[in-house]
Amino acid sequence: MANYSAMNPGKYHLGVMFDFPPLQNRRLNEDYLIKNVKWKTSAMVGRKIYIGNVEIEDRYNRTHTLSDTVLKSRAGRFDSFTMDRRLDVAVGDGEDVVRLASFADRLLQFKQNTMYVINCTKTQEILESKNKFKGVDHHNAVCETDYGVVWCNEHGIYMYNGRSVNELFITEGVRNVSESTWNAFYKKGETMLGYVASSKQILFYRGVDDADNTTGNVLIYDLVTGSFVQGTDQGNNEDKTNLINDWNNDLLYGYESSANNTLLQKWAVTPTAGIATMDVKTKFFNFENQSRKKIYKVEITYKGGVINDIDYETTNVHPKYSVDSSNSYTGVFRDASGNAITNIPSSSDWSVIELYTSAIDNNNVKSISIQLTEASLGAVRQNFEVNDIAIIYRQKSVK
Amino acid sequence: MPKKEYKILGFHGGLHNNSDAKDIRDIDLQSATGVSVHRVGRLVGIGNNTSTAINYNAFTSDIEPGYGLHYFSTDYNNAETATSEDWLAIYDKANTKVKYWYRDKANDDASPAFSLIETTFGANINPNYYYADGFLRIGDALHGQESKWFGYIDNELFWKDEFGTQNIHNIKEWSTGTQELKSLEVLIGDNIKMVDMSTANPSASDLGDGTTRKLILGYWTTEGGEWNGNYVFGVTPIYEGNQEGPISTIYDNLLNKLETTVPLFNKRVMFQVHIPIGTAATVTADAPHRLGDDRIIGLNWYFKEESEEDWIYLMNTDLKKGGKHYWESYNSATETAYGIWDGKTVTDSGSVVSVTEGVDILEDSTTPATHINFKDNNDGAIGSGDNWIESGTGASTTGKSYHQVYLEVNLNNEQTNGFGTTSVPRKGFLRVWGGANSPLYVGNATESGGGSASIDLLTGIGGTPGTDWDEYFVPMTLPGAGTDREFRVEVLDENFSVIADSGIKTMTIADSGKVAPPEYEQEVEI
Repeated sequence: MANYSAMNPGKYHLGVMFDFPPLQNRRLNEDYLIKNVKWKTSAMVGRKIYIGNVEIEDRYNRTHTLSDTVLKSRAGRFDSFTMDRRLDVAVGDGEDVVRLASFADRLLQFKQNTMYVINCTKTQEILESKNKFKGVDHHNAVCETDYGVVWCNEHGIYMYNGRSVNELFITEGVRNVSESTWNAFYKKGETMLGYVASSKQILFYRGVDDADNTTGNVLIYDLVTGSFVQGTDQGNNEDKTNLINDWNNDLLYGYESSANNTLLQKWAVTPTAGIATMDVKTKFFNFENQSRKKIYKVEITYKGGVINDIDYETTNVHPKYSVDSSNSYTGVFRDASGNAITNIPSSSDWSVIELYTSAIDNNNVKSISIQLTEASLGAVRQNFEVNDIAIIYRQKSVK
Repeated sequence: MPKKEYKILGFHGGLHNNSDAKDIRDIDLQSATGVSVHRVGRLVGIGNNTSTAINYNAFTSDIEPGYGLHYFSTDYNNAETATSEDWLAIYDKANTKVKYWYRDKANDDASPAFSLIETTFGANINPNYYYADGFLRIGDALHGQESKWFGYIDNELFWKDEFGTQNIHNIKEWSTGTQELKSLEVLIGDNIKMVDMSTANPSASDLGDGTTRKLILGYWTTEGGEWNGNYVFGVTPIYEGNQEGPISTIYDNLLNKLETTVPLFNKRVMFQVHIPIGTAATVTADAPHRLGDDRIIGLNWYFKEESEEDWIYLMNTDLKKGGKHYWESYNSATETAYGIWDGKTVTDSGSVVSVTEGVDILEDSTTPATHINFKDNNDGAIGSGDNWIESGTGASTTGKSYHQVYLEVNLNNEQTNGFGTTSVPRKGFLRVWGGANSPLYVGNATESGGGSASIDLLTGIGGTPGTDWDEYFVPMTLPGAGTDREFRVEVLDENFSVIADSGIKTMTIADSGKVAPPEYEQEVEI
């Protein structure tokens, strides 16, 4: 049986000729050879891939774990790493590289406690800033967006926009979300975030492990308005994968719907189901002074709820109020006939509901706050919306 | 005092529970649970998770919390046509493998499915992904398992012509493997060999039947080069993306690390690469790569003197197009002598004067009383005119210095195989030494009977190839006066390697009174 080969050059007994050994040619340098590499995190900047927290096998087949090291590929050669293209921003600091992320031509290196911004515009990377207390404890605590990189740790939520690192809990020099709120929400090693591209929001899930039945709680940061809102059980309290953006830019995760069965879930900006837990509290309006007022009524312009269902033509929103900075929202709104309003009726179009305060506590009020919460009948209808709230009051003369 | 209306028109300050509830902005909320404020002036219900159109409930998958998903798009679809496709990589913890779910990107396919290709790991991993240039890489954040890749291989290997339509091996398929750029030593073991092809192309045993993957660097030498020393050779694989793997030394015996040493003295060296492909002239489409990794698209060859440390780059072998002369299938059963010039005596009655290697430049090689075959004219079958002769006859003939002549060169190659066909013969060159301008490189010369023709390496096409010879008339100028001036004609192949040599023939050149052609030197203005 004939044995064949593919031969090159492709003519019989035609060789590539060398009159002399080409000594002027380049030398092969294997001093920095990495035979094999395992990596914990990666990020692409331009046409180079950076991998961090690596375990390498060197040219002598020795294995080294380099938890502080980032290796950079050559441009367009995404599997080639050598020791001469090694970035050690900080070594021996008791921290490991947890996550790499990129924004424009900057590489962000996250360790447990510290975050480094590395400028990759030049051949040699330049450490641009070291940000203490801004590390992350796990890889899913970082998210890349078209506005910058957002991440969170036990101290708060941060964003790098290409110029500076900003703390998102601080707006106009004032912290908005309390430390206790964040501490209650944040779960070390689990809280993950993703980007909702359509609404330009950052979505935080409390956790990924089904051992905790609050891991479906969410926190949303709106990149446009710079504001936070919360949600209870808006995600699944099951084992979850990481978050990704799919072909529609929808934010997805997978969860274990039952043993060994996985379902994908996407985040719907417009709710598709009733909201089991709603708790909206306005500020305590004192109308710019702390003198006494009489509160006559509150008018809410709203729409939503179930239409054409005689038994359930409700929004399932229960309005309440509290006065004078009390945390007890026991104030009962009543209609013009004096009947308590515990469930705002449904309305297909914008409608104004008049909510009268009780005579017993509407006098001599310094401030008032309105609360909207789910009614006892069930979850708030998903199409419920509020346009504005008006408070009708009369200032009392100062005695 | 009159009644007043205080209107709250916006809520987009969102949650602000860190300050006193009466000191926050009107647009702020003490509590903002279950609502969204992303639309300025509206308070709407907060979003929620909802099922996607993708329901792969049938997919048995145990989730590794916090890991597993990655989205990417490719230029090829699962059916291996050039249509964009969306993919989700999904880690199945129970089976320690990554599966690939795909959908038609262009048509927003509503009936997606899982690819049959899966990337399996030896144990549970915490998968991390990156995707670049058509390949997904999967790393294990636990550092426990090897990093792997998944992607579409679009390799038309071993082109046989400029169009690549008759290549020897196509790999056009989705594939997966270990990310490491392995050396050839790792991939094919102790099967990288050098074969001396001075007298024959590689044998059947050199190639093997394809069961074992091999790589052969064939070589042969001729005199007149500057390779002096004992040389060792090595090779690196070039992977997709022009990524070079580690070098493998060519050993006689890998186990004992006994290097293959090639001793050379004043040699020029020719190299030809052979990659055994089995017992057929082509490789079945999508069969595994003959060098053990579907991503390999080239080889870089290196050399060093024995005992030296540094490897020096020698040449590249492109496994796709293969350079100017592409690739060809070689059959070791019948073609070991193919392409090896077999010089044959030019004259029917046999030469008595040494006519080496089938290159005859003598007037009559059947008698010792002969001289170099110069003519005044290239007309007719054998040329004509003796004005170039200063004096003498036969072996005593002397020529006139700086006289314009034609040198008749007869070529006779008995080997008819491996030099092309009578309609498309392989083309070579003549290198003529000894003239006033020397050497002369000749790609076209006047044939017997007139007319310009290229130098065919398959000789005797006008008659019986391998039996009849070719005659060429090469225009040249005789050198200056001198005794025993040396003349020589070499036949060169397409790569200017010497494949035949007339040997040195001498003739005395007398002073004809002509002056040497002027030598023009560049004038340099200072």
